[in-house]
Amino acid sequence: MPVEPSYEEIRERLYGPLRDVFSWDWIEGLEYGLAGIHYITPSFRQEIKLATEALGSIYAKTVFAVQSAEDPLLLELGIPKELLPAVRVLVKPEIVTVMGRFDFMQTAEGIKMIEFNADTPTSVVEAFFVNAQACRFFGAESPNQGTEGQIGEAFTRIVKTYKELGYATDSIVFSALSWHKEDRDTVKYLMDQSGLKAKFVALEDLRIFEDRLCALLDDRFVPIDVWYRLHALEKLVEDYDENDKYPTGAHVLDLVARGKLAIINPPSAFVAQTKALQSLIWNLHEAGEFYTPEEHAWVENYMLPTYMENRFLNKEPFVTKPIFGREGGAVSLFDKDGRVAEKDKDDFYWDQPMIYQKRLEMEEIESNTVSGPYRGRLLWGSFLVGGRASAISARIGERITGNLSCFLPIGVKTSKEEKSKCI
Amino acid sequence: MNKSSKMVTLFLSTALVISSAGCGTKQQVVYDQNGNPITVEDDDDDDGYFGRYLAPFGFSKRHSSGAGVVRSPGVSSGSSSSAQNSVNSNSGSTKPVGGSSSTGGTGISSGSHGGIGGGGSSAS
Repeated sequence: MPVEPSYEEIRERLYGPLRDVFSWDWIEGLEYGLAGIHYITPSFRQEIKLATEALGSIYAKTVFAVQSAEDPLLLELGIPKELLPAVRVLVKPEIVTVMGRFDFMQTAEGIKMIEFNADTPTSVVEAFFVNAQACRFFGAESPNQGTEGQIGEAFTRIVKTYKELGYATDSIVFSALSWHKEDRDTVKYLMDQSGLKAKFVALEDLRIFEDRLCALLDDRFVPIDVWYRLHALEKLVEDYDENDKYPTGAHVLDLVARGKLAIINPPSAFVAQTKALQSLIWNLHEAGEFYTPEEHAWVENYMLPTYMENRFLNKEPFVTKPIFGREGGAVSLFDKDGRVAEKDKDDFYWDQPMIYQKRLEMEEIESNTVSGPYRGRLLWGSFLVGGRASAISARIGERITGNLSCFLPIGVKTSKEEKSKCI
Repeated sequence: MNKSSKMVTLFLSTALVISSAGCGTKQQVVYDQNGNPITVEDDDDDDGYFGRYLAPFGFSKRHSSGAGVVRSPGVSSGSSSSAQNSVNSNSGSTKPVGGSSSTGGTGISSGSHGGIGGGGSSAS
């Protein structure tokens, strides 16, 4: 009688062959990629697509206006003053980011967007590549069919736009930290999918030389025209040469501001990245300003009440988040009386300004893991690529989705109710 | 005034005006009746770069040099027309970034400088 394969065996059969592309199914000895599949309905898939495109257009419209505003607004939004000239550079206003990811949660009040990773999103390989492989492995229908092709279209279009704007576009470089395999291999995957004639050059091998950003290749400085960076602008602004204290990052941003360097994601993506923008959008919505009636409905349906001050105390539970936090860093959950229900334990981002957001409970599901069954909260990532809704992915973790949350493949399955609706 | 309200006020009073892009392109932002932004560029060279115009959000509109700023319906806070000139192409973007300038006003020091990639992973 054949023996059922163990979870570990199934897991190895799934992820083993993918490690040339997806090498981080274990992260620091902890399981990251789960060997199971969570099914969604076609109607849920459709709704998350609609929400992504609706919010993409809301963000594009708002960011475009913000880019034209006077300095005090950008400073209130948390944009560092050193970045102000660079973030005003317009590239393609209707496309707020080439590659961004909205994070949604499914709640009793419907799907709600909780953050927009517009500048340096990851989970790209998981959504665009691994999920499809997992669907094939488990015999499931993929929710992301045809989305890989969107990456190439979006990158080609942004480079074409830069060229039309008068930028040089011959020398294209993709960069990430070479020692960080998730960052490095995510960027290499994106470069392969972009269809662009480009080189990967580690961030550590970039130099400022003769007023250009250059790749140091074989002891030569090769000037860069177009730079895809998995390096957040709020980090870049603080980069300096340790030897002579030269403000290298500030110089790179000056090149961007002067139109001497094209960056992907474009500067608008950084404006969209600050969570303070969620507060601006929500407050414009509450004031009945700026948006069309249809757009107000999108904000009401898919966003959460968000403010720069605490308006929830003694009324309803709330969340605080730093405006440029990542991976759940410095996020705290509070009950309505202000008692801490849960708090991130890491030391990063606590010094940043916070947003206050209505707290709703996330959907809870169970999945197998190497440690046995695990009940966790589900967070949905939905990519916005070149202004269009694209691949989705799921992570399962604690109430605060941190960097220890796990990737869980998803498939599409039509429910009996939906089948009967189709008939 | 709390911070949220201040942001809304700043947005409504300064954001819905003119903008500019890099590369010296003369661009202007106008708004259609639904409040959607349209970027238009000077039409002095229809065949070249300056004759091109962008039409985001599906709106296409030929620009005449006298095109004004159209305010979005429903926007009630006042916007100063003088703010239209508050952002100029390439303005404020050539300030020195280093102390040891060797090429005039750009503040570029000789030699090469590294150090990009601080602050750890940017994964999000």
